[in-house]
Amino acid sequence: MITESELPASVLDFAAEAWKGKFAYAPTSGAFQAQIAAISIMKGRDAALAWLKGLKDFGVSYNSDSGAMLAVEKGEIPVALVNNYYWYSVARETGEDKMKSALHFIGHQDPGALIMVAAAGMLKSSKKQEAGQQFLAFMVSEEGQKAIAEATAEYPLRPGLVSPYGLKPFGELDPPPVTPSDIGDAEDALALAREAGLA
Amino acid sequence: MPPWLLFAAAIPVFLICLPLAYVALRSGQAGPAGIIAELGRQRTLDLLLNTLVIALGVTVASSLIGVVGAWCIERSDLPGRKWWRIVVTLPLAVPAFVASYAWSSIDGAFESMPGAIFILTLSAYPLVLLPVAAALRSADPGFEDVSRSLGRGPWATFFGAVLPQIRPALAAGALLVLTHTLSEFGALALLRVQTFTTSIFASYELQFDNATAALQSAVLMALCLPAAYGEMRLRLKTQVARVGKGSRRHAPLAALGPIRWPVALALGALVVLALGVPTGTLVYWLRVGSSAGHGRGEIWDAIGGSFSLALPGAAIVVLFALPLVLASSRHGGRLAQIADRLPYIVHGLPGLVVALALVFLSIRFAHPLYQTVVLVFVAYTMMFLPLAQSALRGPVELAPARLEEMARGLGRSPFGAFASITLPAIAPGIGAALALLALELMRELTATLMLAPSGTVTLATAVWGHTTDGEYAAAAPFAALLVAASALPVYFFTRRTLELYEL
Repeated sequence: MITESELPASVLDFAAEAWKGKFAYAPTSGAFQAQIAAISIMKGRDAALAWLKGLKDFGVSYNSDSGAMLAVEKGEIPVALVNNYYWYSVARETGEDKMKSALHFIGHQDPGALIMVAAAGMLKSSKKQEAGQQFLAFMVSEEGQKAIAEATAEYPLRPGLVSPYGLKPFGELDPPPVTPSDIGDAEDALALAREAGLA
Repeated sequence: MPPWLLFAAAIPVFLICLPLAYVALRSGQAGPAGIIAELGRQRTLDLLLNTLVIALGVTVASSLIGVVGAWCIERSDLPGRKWWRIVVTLPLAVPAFVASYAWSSIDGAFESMPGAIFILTLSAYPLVLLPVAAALRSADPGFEDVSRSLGRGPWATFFGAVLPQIRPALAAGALLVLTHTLSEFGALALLRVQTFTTSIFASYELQFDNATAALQSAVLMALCLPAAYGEMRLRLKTQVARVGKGSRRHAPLAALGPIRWPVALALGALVVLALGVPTGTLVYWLRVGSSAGHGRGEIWDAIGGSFSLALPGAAIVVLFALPLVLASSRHGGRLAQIADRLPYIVHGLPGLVVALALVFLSIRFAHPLYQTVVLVFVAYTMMFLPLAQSALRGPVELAPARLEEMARGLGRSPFGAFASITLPAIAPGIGAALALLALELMRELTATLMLAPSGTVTLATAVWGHTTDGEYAAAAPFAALLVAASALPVYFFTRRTLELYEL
């Protein structure tokens, strides 16, 4: 349906008429909020707003990243903006060699090459503080990280561990210089989405 | 009215005021300027347009299919009429979100506004067809004879003499479809149509406490409540009267002539689309899924989860409904009447708004209840009281009040007399209401999805979870069980409607 060479250099380019009906995104996913925030931080608020308005006019919205990923795999739409591991969860069901879609990493420090972290926390109000702490400690231990890396195609946090999924090496991703603490609680991302009429 | 009854009848009335309180409180926080700005946004207008297009589209299409279908089944020499009467109502056994899942797994093209109107019409038309068919069967053919003998043609007679007699049934059915479509969430979300319900849910997912969600809920309620009120009024007023002496004769069947078999074929196509395609698709995905062999253990978790919410839920709803029915059938009076009818109006409240209100109010005012099953049961009570009331009304009215009065005369307390005399008499009716409610609660998706404590999986939420992730094969066993569990509620609805409109 589309070849890698036809893809634009930046995630910002998808919000244009040339991609009308060809670009899938999931506006209610947490990752999408981080993406909005990253664009706003790197290119400015106006650019982020213009991007969202472009997506509203020309993009195709899905309920979830998995839904968008599957639409691409089924050939309903050429491109989707998803986290890398959604491709592997479909591949696990259908078999990697039978996959009709492929991952494309934008790289070169574009906002679209944003790295997102999965976080764990514990409620202050929890009555099982100790057990909670123990579990958090397990999650970052070597054993816990191994278990997580085997269950999902996300990059393990702990140095020295390599995902069994054959992911593109972490060092080659060339992400933008935006950290999770820059993104914060993404309150402004939501405000932007509302201004653009997406929420 | 005894005080205990008054108190028991006041609880559900209090509960159904909660969504109104939520919308008032949360919108109030936004301030007048905030409210105007929010309501005037292009987004609100877009959602309003989409909501009205889908709701009116489904209502009009269902009414057309309902009237034409009912006429063919009741008034024409269609082959196999008795058989059609049952078969055309069976699509009710497929919950709308299951039908949506089935169609969207066939082709992504159904995930659109026309697709949604098509799919929801197929699952809603029996709500019109059934009452209209019942009304047609009981309508007096005398009016038609007069019309024909005065020289009117068959079409003019239909519009002049038949339609006015079925109009109350048609209007009540159409308003029921309108209310259902306005508050539909699961199906529309799966079909990616943006309406108030899907937008409210999206706002809630991104940010718990959201003024936009509250204001959109207010607009949605303003659309739903009048429709539900109108439906209730029509249902109460529906009296098909006939004039003249003697007993009514059956209407003669119109000869369809050369189109007899094409009409049968068209009805067959309708049933294939409404029932055959969804169930066939389920069977297909079941076979795909069993070869992939996943989700075996999850099935039992979901069945357990469904029962753990639906069984106590049904008991609680029936418990709250019983005083309302007793109050209105035994004691009458204005207060009892209001308490009896209010739930029917509130039935028009979308499950989504009910759930959102409970989240907001529990976090603010009753924090220990948040994330407990109590909230789920409160939501069920608010949404399903009318169903329990109509299931209980028959048995309660059949139990003679005089026996209870006699027990009072012999010295029993009001409650004692009720417990020892009336309760045993209505026990079978209560049992039937419990079974019906339990199965209907299993089909409930929206409130369960939003309120069930983290980690709870039910058949409905499992279908939802797998389908939104596009895992069609994994969703199939859950959906198939839901369809199977729906058979009894459909039977009940069919019987009740036929009784209501038949002379």
